[in-house]
Order: sequence, then C-alpha cells, then structure tokens
Amino acid sequence: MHIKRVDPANMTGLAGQHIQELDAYLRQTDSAFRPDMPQFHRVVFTSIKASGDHIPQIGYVGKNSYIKEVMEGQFGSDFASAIRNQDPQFDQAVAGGFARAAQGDRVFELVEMEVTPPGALTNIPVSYYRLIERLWLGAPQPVLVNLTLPTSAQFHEHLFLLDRAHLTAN
Amino acid sequence: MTDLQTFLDNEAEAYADMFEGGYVIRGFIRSIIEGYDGKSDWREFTPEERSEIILNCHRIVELLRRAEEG
Repeated sequence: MHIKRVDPANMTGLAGQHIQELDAYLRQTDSAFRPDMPQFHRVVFTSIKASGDHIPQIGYVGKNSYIKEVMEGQFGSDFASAIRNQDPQFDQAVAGGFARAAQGDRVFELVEMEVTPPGALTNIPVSYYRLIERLWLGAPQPVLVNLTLPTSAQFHEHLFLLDRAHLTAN
Repeated sequence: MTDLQTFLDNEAEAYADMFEGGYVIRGFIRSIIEGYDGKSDWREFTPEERSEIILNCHRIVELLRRAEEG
C-alpha cells in the first residue's frame, strides 16, 4: 500500500472536484457543521480520539460513502471494529491520517493498494483520494470528517469489471 | 412517530439536554433524512432505511457524549 500526500488542487476528475468542494466549504464555515454541508451523504464522521494504530470510532456513515460500499452492508453499531476485523492491515495502514487530522492537519492523500476480491485469483489495483479534517458538531471537541472517493482510474476499472460481468452473464 | 417534524422536534429536544451541542443534532438528522429521495413520512422508509437512520443517530450521539466526557 502506498499513501501519498496530494495537494487537493491536483486531485483530478469528479473525485477531486468533490474533495475540493468539501474543503472549500470547511474553510468557509471555519469547519463548523451546517445542514447544507456538501457531500454529506458520502462522508464518514469519526471520533477525534485517533491513536494512529486503528481507525477511530465511527459515528456517522453516509449512505453513499465509499467505505459503506466496500463493507457491502456490514452495518453494525461498531463500524470501526467491523473494518478492523475484516482487514487489520488496511486498518493500520490508513489510521495514521486520522491521527494527523486529529492534531489539526488538513489531510489530503492518494491511497493506492491491491485487493483480492472474494473468489478472484489475481489482485486488483485500487486507488482513492481521501480528505480528513476536523469538524465542529456542537460538542466541546470536534469530530473528524472523512471523504474517501475512488480516483477516476479506479472508476474506470470499476466500469470495466461491470462490463466484463455483463458479458459473462450473457 | 410518523410525522417528520415531530420526529425532529422530539429528537432535538432529547439531545439538547444530553450535551452542550445537542441542538446541532437537529440539522444533522434532517440532513440524513433528506438523503432518502424526498421521503418525509416515517412510514415511507423501508425497515433497512429506518435501521440505518437510527444507527447513525445512535452512533453520533455516543461519539458526542464521549467527546463531552473528554
């Protein structure tokens, strides 16, 4: 797995636009939650208590969030544990970004990794952009907001797989 | 609890007493509900959607309560 810091201005495609839009909003509102927050249904809110060893406790999972898609409906009350149990290495690898954001950094990264889907013999490259920033939700301490979106390269891979599934089915 | 406005009012009132920023939860819950294709009556939601909404409310309240405890 490779994690690279990326200037949000250099994030390409629709994913880049969505991340730039949310970042602009957070700067504009001084990172305070308001009901008109863009990308609300794609984001995840986590606890500010981020050790860097694990993904912090997850408070809100947007219905169209990438992680929800990846977890394929495993939707218990402790989402962070579900991720940890499914893929401990992934949990550890991505946890650092949450810890840095908890310290006040605005985290913008490109994450590249390979996954082996169930039943597949070969690995598939996966790449996504992510934003992690602090968000004030009314409590004395902020939470973290995380927007993770597949890059356009990943999106094309996804379409290719869908196409192939379609051809196989016929 | 079928009327959206009643639901929001009841939830917001309950959360406002629980921690300092409880009033923000009203906007938060409204934003969640607005993501479900304009549904505005509790009876219009599927059981899965209801569970999803309630779990999200439950988890965020837990997170904020812990934040308040420090």
